[in-house]
Amino acid sequence: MVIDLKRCIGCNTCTLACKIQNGTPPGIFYRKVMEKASGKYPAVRRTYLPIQCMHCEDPPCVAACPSGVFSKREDGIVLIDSDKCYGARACRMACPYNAITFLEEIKSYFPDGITATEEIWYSNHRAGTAGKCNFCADRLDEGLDPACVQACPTDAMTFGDLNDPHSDVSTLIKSRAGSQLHSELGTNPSVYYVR
Amino acid sequence: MNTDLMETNAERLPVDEHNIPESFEVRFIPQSDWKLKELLAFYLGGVGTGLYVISQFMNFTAGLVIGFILVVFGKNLAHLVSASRPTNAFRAFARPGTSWISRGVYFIIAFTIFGALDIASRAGWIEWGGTLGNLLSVLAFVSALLVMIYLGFLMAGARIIPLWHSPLIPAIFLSYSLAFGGALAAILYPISGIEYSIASITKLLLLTIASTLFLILVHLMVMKYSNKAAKRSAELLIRGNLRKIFVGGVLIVGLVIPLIITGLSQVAHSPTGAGTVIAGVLMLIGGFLFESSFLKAAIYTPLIDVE
Repeated sequence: MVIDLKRCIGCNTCTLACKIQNGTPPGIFYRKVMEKASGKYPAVRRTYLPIQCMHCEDPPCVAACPSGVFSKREDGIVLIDSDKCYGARACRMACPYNAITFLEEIKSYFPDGITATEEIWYSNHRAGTAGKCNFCADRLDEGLDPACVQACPTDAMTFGDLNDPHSDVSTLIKSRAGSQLHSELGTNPSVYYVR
Repeated sequence: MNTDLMETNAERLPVDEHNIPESFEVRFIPQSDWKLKELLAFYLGGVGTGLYVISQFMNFTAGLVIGFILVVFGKNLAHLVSASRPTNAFRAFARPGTSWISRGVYFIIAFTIFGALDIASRAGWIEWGGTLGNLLSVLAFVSALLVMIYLGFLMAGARIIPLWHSPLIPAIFLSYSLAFGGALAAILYPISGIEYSIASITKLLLLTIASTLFLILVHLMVMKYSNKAAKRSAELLIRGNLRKIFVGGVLIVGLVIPLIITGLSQVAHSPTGAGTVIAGVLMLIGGFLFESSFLKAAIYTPLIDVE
């Protein structure tokens, strides 16, 4: 995935699309747009940085987890099987991108308890387990883009095959000097940023 | 649009932390995953293995048994209680090749087996013969050392938390565990009524306090010259919200005062049982506060520069 920070306007449409796609309970965000204000009035600037699981080539979460919750697909997507999680949370300490969430308990967005709709939304979530973005693997298998990519109103994200030198993502990375977050850690994330 | 209805619905929404979205502002965030239950597990493991190792050298059977119980029952129980899905805890065996938690599980099992056999051998419940008995003692000793040290490696592996990501952390945990062992032995000996060498205990406390204090101060110095999150952690401990716990509780009460007590009695060649007991109690309190403050001051390196 390539994220164009020039195009990102911090609207969090991707955050909402992700929540709807994954039916995540309150407080759980597999994707979020971090914000940073800098400078002094009147020269103030606001920077946006969309964050999610980076699907690293060498994912520290996979190594740190004692119970084998994480696995990697052939296409490089790092999957999580929450049913195997017992809540050690070592993955959260190991992830350099703060991309792994932990669901303490399932709560409702509404005051009168979990609604019938929420019961369906949350049926794939287990309290006391870790969770994270899976690049909408089910959608990819159907030939669709991840929900965040599809929902972005400014077309700030491009999804494709990094191994194909002629793909849109590879071209973008080459032409606009794409960079990775915390590249010095050697995790080789699959999410690149261009400015 | 019916604004009255919107306001009514907005008022009905419960205001609690789960329903207010977390702030997405880039800032320094302390880790919040490991809290009191994990702290208890770490502390009991350190105290238990420390006491076991020290008791091995002093041939103090009561200390061996208490150390063993603290690790096998105390530490493991605290780990089980801290697991959000304890029925899945058996899966912690799955990744000893890469995960320090998995390795820790194997070290604890090894300690449970060899420690039990070592105690049985020393107490005379089972006659192993000289060589096998000695081998069991060595294996129990090595597995206790591994239990002491794996937590340090686990924490040092958190590259995003600079306060922990240091080769000094395993050394600090090892040194603290031995200090804990000496401290608890200093308290248990007078209670047990067994004759013991106060001079040896005093020397042991002096050595372990000095090494622990030295390692902690060096670690803090390194943090001061590291990245911004590391500096923030160090400031939190020395000047921030945790200063009373860390400077007052850990450094002064837990290390400096015991160092003075044991140091003076060593210099005056008149070590007293009361002095070592007081030093031991203060060290145990300080050690608990150390682990507590090190969990609370663990700040994640922000994804982009905060300031």
